[in-house]
Amino acid sequence: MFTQFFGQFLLNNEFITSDELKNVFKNIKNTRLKLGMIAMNEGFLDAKQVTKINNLQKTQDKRFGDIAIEEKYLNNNQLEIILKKQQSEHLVLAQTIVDLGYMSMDEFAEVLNLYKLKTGISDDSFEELKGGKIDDVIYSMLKFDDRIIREYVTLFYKNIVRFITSEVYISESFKLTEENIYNFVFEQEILGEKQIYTAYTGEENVLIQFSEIYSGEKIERFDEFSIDICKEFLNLHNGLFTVNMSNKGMTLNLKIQNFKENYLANCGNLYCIPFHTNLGNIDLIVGF
Amino acid sequence: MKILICDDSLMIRRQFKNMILEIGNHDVIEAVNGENAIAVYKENKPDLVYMDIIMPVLNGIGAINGIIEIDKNAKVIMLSSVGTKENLSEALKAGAVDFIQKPVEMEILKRTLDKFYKEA
Repeated sequence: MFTQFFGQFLLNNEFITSDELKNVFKNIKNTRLKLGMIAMNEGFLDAKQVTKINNLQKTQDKRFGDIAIEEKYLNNNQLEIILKKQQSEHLVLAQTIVDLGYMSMDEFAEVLNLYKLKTGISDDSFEELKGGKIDDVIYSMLKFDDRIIREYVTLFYKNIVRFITSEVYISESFKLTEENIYNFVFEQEILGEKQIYTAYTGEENVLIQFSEIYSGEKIERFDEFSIDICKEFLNLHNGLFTVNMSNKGMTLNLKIQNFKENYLANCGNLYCIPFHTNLGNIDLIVGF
Repeated sequence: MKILICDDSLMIRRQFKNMILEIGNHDVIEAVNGENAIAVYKENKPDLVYMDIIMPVLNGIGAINGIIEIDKNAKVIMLSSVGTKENLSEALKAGAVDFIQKPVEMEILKRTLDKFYKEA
């Protein structure tokens, strides 16, 4: 998930173009992290030592780690650490960007620091994000304090990743005004110990792709069937949220989900949380 | 076995039907809400019913009550995304014999089908 958030940051700040970012996402699955990069990231080796090992590898049929040990650049514990980190998400991203020639390693390190500074993510949260934990990063984008609604948004994010696409990030939430009109809205009310209005919206082409992925069926038009699928996604998500809350001792119930066209925000306390996906934008709306 | 699937979502009915047919050569019939399910049950007397809870016109709990009135031995399995303790207890009280949480996993569906196939 770090990849999506950081990728978006690179795009927003024009460190990388949209086509380049798409190319990064395309190539990232095939990237195998070089041990030298991890060792530098951990501070075990400097660039000179990595270059020397790389040059030795050209003349000897030995692995990077074996040479590093022989040259006494690394001890066995350090080698074990870097082997374990070979799947580290942010390093895989760095390696892909550097391999594609969009940035040097130094530039990547600089931009990474700027990212932490600009997003206000603490070092601890950043470590969690690198490790795939997402809660704090999502919370930092939400401009309201309600703990339950924050959990709700986090679960929506996880369900988008689980059922629709892993290429998703969110931007800062904002309060809806009566000027916000949406063409298509799927909505469902949660009742009980806490009352929550929930909805999501998207453009027609996004919803067609969304319903195709969620159902696993070929969807070519935004028709009754695709509307049914989109409604069912919200129902499933809200159902899972209700179960989570029930396990924490809070009883909630769901009303039947609806589909609305030309929806006008007319409640004073509605927030929109924009979800940016590779399919297009999905806006989550919550009122509480 | 004759199986009735009651869910207001066409997608769920389709997916669920496909899963059941993948498991075995069953006869699958459908209903779109609780009221419809009672009518379809009366006419077809299925061996097993999979019933959603949140539906328009008449919800799943109301539908179980109606079906049990017709056939006190009816076997109804609740099928819902809202698998809370409260819903589970309400469904069992109404006469449901089991409860499956959505999204449905093939293994769990297979287990319930095997169990009730032996009893049918």
